[in-house]
Amino acid sequence: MIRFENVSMLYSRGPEVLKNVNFHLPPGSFHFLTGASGAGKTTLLRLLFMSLFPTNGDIFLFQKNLSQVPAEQRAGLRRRIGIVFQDFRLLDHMTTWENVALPLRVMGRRESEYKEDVTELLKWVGLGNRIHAYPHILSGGEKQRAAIARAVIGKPELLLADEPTGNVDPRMARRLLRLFIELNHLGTSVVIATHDHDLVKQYNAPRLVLADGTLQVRS
Amino acid sequence: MRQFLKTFALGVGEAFWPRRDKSGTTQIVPQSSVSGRALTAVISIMSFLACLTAGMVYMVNQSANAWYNDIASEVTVQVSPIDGEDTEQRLRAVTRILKRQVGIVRVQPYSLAESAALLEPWLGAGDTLSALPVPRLIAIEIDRNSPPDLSAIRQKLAARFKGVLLDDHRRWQAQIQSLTRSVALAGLGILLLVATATVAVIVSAARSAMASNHEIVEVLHFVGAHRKFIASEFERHFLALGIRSGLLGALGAGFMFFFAPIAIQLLGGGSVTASEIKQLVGSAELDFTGYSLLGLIVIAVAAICMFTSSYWVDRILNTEGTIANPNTSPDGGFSLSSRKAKSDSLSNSVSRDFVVKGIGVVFKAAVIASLVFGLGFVLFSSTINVSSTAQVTQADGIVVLTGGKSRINEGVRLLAAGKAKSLLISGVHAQTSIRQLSKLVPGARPLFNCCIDLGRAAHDTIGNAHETRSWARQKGYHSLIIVTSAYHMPRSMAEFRSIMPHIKLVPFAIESPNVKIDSWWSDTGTARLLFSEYMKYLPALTKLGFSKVTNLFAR
Repeated sequence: MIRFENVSMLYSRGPEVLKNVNFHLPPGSFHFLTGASGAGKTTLLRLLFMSLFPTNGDIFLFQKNLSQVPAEQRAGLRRRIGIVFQDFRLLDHMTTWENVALPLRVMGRRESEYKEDVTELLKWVGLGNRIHAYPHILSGGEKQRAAIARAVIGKPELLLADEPTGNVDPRMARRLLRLFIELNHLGTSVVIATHDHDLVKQYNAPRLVLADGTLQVRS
Repeated sequence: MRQFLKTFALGVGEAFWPRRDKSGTTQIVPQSSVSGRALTAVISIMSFLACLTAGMVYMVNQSANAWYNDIASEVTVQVSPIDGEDTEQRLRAVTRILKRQVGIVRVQPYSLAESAALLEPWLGAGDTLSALPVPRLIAIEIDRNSPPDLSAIRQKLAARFKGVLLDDHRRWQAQIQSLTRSVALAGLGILLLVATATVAVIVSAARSAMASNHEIVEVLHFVGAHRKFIASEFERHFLALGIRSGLLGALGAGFMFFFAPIAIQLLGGGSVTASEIKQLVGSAELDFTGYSLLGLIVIAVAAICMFTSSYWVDRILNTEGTIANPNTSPDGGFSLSSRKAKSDSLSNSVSRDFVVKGIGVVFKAAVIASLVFGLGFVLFSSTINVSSTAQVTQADGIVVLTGGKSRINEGVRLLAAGKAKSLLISGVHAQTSIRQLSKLVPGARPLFNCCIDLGRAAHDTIGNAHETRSWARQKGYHSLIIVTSAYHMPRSMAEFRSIMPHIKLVPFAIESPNVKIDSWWSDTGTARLLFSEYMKYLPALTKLGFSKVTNLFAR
């Protein structure tokens, strides 16, 4: 699913964020990505999402070397990945339902094909009564669940989540974690970047620990 | 191409039938975020100004051309009363001769009553006019495609009648042509300025609108939308905005042009009639081509809006909100605060940046223009050279432009050397005789008798060019040697080339006393003369370029 080979990342105005990182994540796996603030968690997610390209080394995703994928084919790969942003990134002029349906809409699918699926998913994440609400009246937890629903509506093979519990209380954090675990049981590979140790302790999953630019995989 | 056509159709549709956000599915890019009232107003106003300027330039150009054509196609013959001769009889005789000439379309002798009516505004009505020796006029309309030989007609009339003068308005023609070209050039310059301002304002406004939609572009990108999909979502809104605003501007300008004559008449309190305006500035209305020009501006405005949005989508995607750019800090991340700040600051700083950059661009342009101007002068002065006889190739005729000593001597010397068949001395004073001129060149009297013509109509270099063109046309010449002072040669060649583009011109530049061409930088007088000449040369060169472009389009 994901393979990093000698990946290094250097920003021009900063230190080397990743130094010769090597790891492999098999399909259907569940991993926490941890590390102190500024350790490079977001950079690693951005590399996976083809928003950044490494200074050195190769990243293989879905058996493809990302540095060799032409720009026009990257959108196709992104559709196989679901991403949950720390800041939700919901579009303010769209309802919760429309935000969640957005990935299917940009794929060119008809509304009649996915109408029921979107509504069902929203009920599953506990937003059945907030379908017609606009993001500005949703609470932080509701926004986070809407963002997760949007990330998984296209049945992605890989789910990347950047600090998904950063804006919610511990009770909501546990609920969201259960949501990710259920998705993983359905076959989606999950990588959750977090520095919330309580969250990590709640589920026995391997950890990718970033420190001083290097990465260690801990069971 | 399919995507483009789809976007185009949606954009055109949206321009005339705007979709409402509340009906059906919400638009991915809200129409209101692109075509807000302020943005529509700004683009409409700029379109209106561009249409107004283009229409006015077109109208003035058409009127000036019509004015010139009217004068150029009319010649007047004046029959002065002579004691003991019947003026009416002479008028009829002259009319008969004129009607027999080839190239004359219409001959209209003015009756005594008509002549009196022409003079009435100055002399008043009444019988007093019949007591005055008022010359009688014959208006001639010539065929502009195959004009008559006016010199031959003039000679024929002079040989048969006393007191009969043919006025071909040549002096007027040269001045009016110069005026019409200046008007066209000035108009083109203004149009260029307005077009540049319009493009800059539209690009800036569209850029601001795109900056406020930065987040939508990024989200679409993250959920796997293709570049074309994202671009088309914006392009159709911007196309619709461009069409709507452009049409508003064009309709406003069209309305102005349509009702301009009536408005002028109303503003003039009825004292200025439409027919008087027509006489002064032509029709003062746009024709079909003029209105089509406004349509073209609408298309241009719509295209600018559409392509600016497309370009800006590319800019956002290529930088991917700092994501794909390794030169950014690692904290640029996915945090909302940094994103919002980035988007807001981008939007807010666009207008400030535009003003700052605008001033910077104007300053840089001024510095570059000054440098180009200075370098141009150095180049102009350094490339002025005196010709040698050996350099001059054979031609049909030689033209000497008066205004400097030894020009006539050199021209006659070339003629004597067999470089051409005949010579024209252009710009000779009305009171200078051929005998006086022949004294300037000892031993050349036979040449003056056989092969040298004098042109007395020219008063300046442009006049020289017009006079030479008539002479060359009359003689059927296709190549000419131009003799003038070295410092005067570049401007003369530019003027001659713009007026007679199809004639081969060979320059023969001669040295002028007191002008130190080889060391112009050390001689104040020469430098001043050259600078003054350079200032006259630049408009001539512009005119030449303009004439080449118009000839190119005329083909």
